[in-house]
Amino acid sequence: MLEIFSFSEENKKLAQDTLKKYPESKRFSAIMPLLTMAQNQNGGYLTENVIAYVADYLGVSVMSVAEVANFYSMYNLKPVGKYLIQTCNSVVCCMKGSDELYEHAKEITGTKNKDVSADGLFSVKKVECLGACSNAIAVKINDVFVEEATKASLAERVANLKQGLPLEEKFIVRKSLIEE
Amino acid sequence: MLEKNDRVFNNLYGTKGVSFDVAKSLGDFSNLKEILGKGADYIINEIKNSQLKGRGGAGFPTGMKWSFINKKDPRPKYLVINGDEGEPGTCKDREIIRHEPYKIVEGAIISSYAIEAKACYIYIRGEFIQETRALQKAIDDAYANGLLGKNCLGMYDLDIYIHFGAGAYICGEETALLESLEGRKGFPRIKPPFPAVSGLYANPTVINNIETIAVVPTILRRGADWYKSMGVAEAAGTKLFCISGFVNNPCVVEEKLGIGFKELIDTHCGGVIGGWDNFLAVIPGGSSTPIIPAALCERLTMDFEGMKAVGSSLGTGAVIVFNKSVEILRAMKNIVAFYNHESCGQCTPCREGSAAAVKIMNSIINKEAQPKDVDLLERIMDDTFGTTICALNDATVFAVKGFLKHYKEDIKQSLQI
Repeated sequence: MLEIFSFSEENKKLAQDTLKKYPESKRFSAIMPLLTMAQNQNGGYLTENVIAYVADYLGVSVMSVAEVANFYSMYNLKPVGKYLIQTCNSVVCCMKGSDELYEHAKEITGTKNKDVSADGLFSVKKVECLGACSNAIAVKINDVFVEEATKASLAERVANLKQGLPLEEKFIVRKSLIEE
Repeated sequence: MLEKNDRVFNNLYGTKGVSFDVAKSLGDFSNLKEILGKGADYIINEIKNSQLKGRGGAGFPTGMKWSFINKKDPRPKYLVINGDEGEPGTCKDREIIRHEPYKIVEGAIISSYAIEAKACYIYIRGEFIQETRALQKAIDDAYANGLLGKNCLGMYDLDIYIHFGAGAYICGEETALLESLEGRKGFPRIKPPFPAVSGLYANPTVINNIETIAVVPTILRRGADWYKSMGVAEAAGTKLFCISGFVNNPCVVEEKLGIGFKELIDTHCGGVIGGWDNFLAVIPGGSSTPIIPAALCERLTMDFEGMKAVGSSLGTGAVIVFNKSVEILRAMKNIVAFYNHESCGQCTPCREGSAAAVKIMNSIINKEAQPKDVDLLERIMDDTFGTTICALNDATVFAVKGFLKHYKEDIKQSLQI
């Protein structure tokens, strides 16, 4: 069955506000923000229909939206769990053991050999540098950073999410040893 | 060591709270009208005199970049601020975005005034969505206080917009960033024309790093001479260093350019894990800057000349410290794989060269390679250097060549056993 996608009322308003950021003739500039909105509304991933909707909404070709969706790694073209756990794979985190943390995350979320856990809650993937190198190992769950992640801290987060608790936002700020 | 009173970023960790009132109490916006009243030429000259160099890695003189904008050109001019930080090791802009966003806004106002831009786009990597709330709040506060919008302070019109990336390191390259902002794949453009002539929407555009923009107000407030008085001759002022890896307290910290490497690590990070005897090597300015083995670090200073003397560069100020628990070959393979993954694929030497480099490095790690493969790796790097549209491939080459310079013979020997 072909699913029908259209922006929620809230996103329709947001889309109009977004278009105002760019000169009137430059609707292409809104492709990325609208794809992000559409992905969030569509459970974290894009389908051909969603991409076509965004193209139609902006009055641009489907191909021009599809190639953007294919180029940028934060657009998911396959279904993902409600919580997408992204472990940083770049040099600092990797040297601090992010490979092992990734394997651990796959295990505790039940996503070994599959993209989405059976309960639909989790996906786990390796991503390139998350830009939080002073707080290695960096992990993101959806939009939320988990800094200085360990097997134990990640397991606690996952257990909380399984219990239906909200995703807690907490930054760790590392300061110089010199007094402020 | 940098005196407390000489810090540009006096709330880098957000410990004083992050709000318009806190920012004002710390000096932000205090004499904005007076600064602008001195005129665009004064502002550009003062920034030139301060010798401020771009803080995004390439180190181009900021005042000079601004002076490339032709004011007689009737087309609209744009300021684009690059917050797509993603070079492994680099995490300084993140601290500015979440804790010092008012400095970005004030810097954007002054810089836009200097180049006569009426619109400013801040491009932020998509992963920093949480952090960017603070920046959006700072922009909203500026609108609410008559510092953004139409006829602000009776002197200027300016709108600031945030545009998020979506996970592509290449968009940190300025023309790829413009492509992305225009709604396309992040393929770097062939230069010339340079952005100052044909940038965003083919209009005159200045692109500056977030840190560069954020230091502008303080330089103008306290004067170019004050800024220059810190740092060393060819590397004036202060810089954010993001120190990561195997130190006791990794952190982001502002310091004078020219500070000793060991002093930096001891003072702010509590030394290397396991002590200096356990120190192996440092990548001093983000993953593309050539690695420096411990033996060359005794008198190493954190400035352009100091880095050049040991065959490396300051890059983004991202200091990645390795102790003896790290296998350098694996670390380097990870770095090359990063560039391979992030190659936009537009130029063959970059796309295929980095893929071949990863393959060879994997075969070395698995002991399937022969010593001559190490020479082949070096040859691929030499052959592809300088042959591509943007500098991403050159970044790969710098990283690999820097590594081979110090470790080639060791690797070859390990393959002969």
